[in-house]
Amino acid sequence: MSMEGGEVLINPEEKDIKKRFETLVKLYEEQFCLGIEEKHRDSFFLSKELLHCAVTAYFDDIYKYKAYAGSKYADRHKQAAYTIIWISRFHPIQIKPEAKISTTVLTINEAFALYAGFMFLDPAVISKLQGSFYQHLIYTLVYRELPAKGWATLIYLMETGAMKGVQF
Amino acid sequence: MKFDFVDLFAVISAFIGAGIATVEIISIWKKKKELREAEKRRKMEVEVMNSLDKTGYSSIKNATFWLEHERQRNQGDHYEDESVYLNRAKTIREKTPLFSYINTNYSLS
Repeated sequence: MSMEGGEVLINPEEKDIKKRFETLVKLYEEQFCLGIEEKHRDSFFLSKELLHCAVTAYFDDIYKYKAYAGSKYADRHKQAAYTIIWISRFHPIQIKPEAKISTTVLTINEAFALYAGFMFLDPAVISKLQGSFYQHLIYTLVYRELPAKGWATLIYLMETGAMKGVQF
Repeated sequence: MKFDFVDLFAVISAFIGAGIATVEIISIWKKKKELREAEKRRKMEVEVMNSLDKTGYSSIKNATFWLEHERQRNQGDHYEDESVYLNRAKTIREKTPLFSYINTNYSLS
């Protein structure tokens, strides 16, 4: 982000963007696709271009936040929140025209967005996640405009509940 | 009884005198009111100044410190090697029910 005078105010480092992009490509190829049932796997593909857009937007947001808060590093709840928001907004996973449509396929981007966000948290938190709440998170991503900071609070609550042994 | 010019002059003078006196009285009353209000304002200002002196700017800073700096509280973790995230993702895939939810399909029947 720059002003008219050419002074760059928010300038995420290219190496950070590249590193996170590569991590997310690996996440998709090595973990996410493996977790999806085989019958669905041929129904979609990853648009690396759209994923790159999501990663760039993520870093723009995170850098703006860090400039405002004076933080060197954003905390894990915000990392997760901004990741979830931007992946679900850019829809980097594209459905093929010949795909056999199912709930899994229709919500594949929201599922990937949540999975990518959850990698910033302790897996023990996700072990407390229940099906109905997962559905609610998908519903929220599709139908509601919850801002990233709202998601960060939600994730904070999930984590705090899980640490106290609460299933949510 | 005869009502001559002198009497007329006396009556008119009396009316004018009464008018002038009324205007003067109103003017004095207004001035007094203004003075009272000015005194009231001055007293209030003194009260505010006194309470500020009692609170002190440093106390205000102390009281608001948490609110103003809370946003700087969280410093996140940072990993140069992002395989940390991929390892967590692997654990999530293998050890949590997340993918059973992702793979669940819903239909009308």
